[in-house]
Amino acid sequence: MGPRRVLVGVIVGLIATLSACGSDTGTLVGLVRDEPLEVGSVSMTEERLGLDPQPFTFVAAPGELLVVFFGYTYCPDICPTSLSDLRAALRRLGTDAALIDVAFVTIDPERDTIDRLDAFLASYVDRYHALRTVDATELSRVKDAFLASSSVTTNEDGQVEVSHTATTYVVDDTGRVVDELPFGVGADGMENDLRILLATTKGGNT
Amino acid sequence: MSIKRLVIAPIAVLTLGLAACGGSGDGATDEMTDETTLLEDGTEEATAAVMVEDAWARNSPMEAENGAVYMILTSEIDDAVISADVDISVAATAEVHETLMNDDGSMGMQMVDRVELPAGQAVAFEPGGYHIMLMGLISPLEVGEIVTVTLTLESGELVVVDAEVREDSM
Repeated sequence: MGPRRVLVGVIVGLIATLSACGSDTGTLVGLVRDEPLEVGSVSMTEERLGLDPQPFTFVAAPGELLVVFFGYTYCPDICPTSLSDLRAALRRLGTDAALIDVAFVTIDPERDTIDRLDAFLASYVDRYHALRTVDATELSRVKDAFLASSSVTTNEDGQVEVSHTATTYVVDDTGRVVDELPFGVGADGMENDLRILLATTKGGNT
Repeated sequence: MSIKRLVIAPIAVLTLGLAACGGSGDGATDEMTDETTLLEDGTEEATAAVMVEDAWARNSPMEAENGAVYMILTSEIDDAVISADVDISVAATAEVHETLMNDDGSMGMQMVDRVELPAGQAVAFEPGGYHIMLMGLISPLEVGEIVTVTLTLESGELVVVDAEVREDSM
């Protein structure tokens, strides 16, 4: 545990340094795979408050980007931090923020009702998709596509213990994961990467 | 008439004199006395004087059940945080938690029995690390309000932390 904490600290420090140096044409602080994950064919049902459910596919609209999180509303530390960082990054992007869509997949669907999930997300971003399924197989399929993992267990004291991948994924309009931001890059890291990715996405590849 | 005026005048002068003394003299003396007492307590009696900096809690969405309080603690002596408490008007319970990365790269939280406070070393409770988890929030944490948590140290000292609710860390 100790060494791992240190390692995370070093990585975050490194990222902070990189982002401080980075300009608009700089480098992404997130992970870019040589062979990006393809998630465009993955879909799940999107429940919508007051509206009929509709299928949701993990692809950004043309010329836009889709930011994907896995998390849960009872999360006190990781999820609010990541979503607050995104909110701050979007504010700094100004009008370009309209080109960023957000999908939040709950990994704790039993406790996260759609009402809870919707209100939770609405407090952070204007544009979002609250994704929830109680079908464990369907959830696994989505997690596998992102190489994400999560677990929800109840300990001997009756407390629910949750762990989940804390990565912020950025998907382009072809359904490719073009960036994977580890937890801790902060609003600076998110802003840096979204700016760079928007520059190449806007009116670009069709 | 003339007698009354004579009496009033001395009283007025006396009051002015007192006010002038009280204004600068008394206040300054009080402050100095406080500081000195604090220093003596910390060094001679070795009571854990703990410095609390940048205490804050993130504002919570309407639907959030839980919250987290962050801060930086520096203890003058080797000590440890062993438990946390919060007023029941704020949340049902408070626990000392740590966010950790699992072997598969996912992140989870666990309750910790103690957080070491080595003498003179700043220990950060921050997003992605140690935090005081507020469980069962009575109402959403609103920006600008103050949440008070009490930390119990191994030395027996109680540290009262007033955390300002904010949207983000500064």
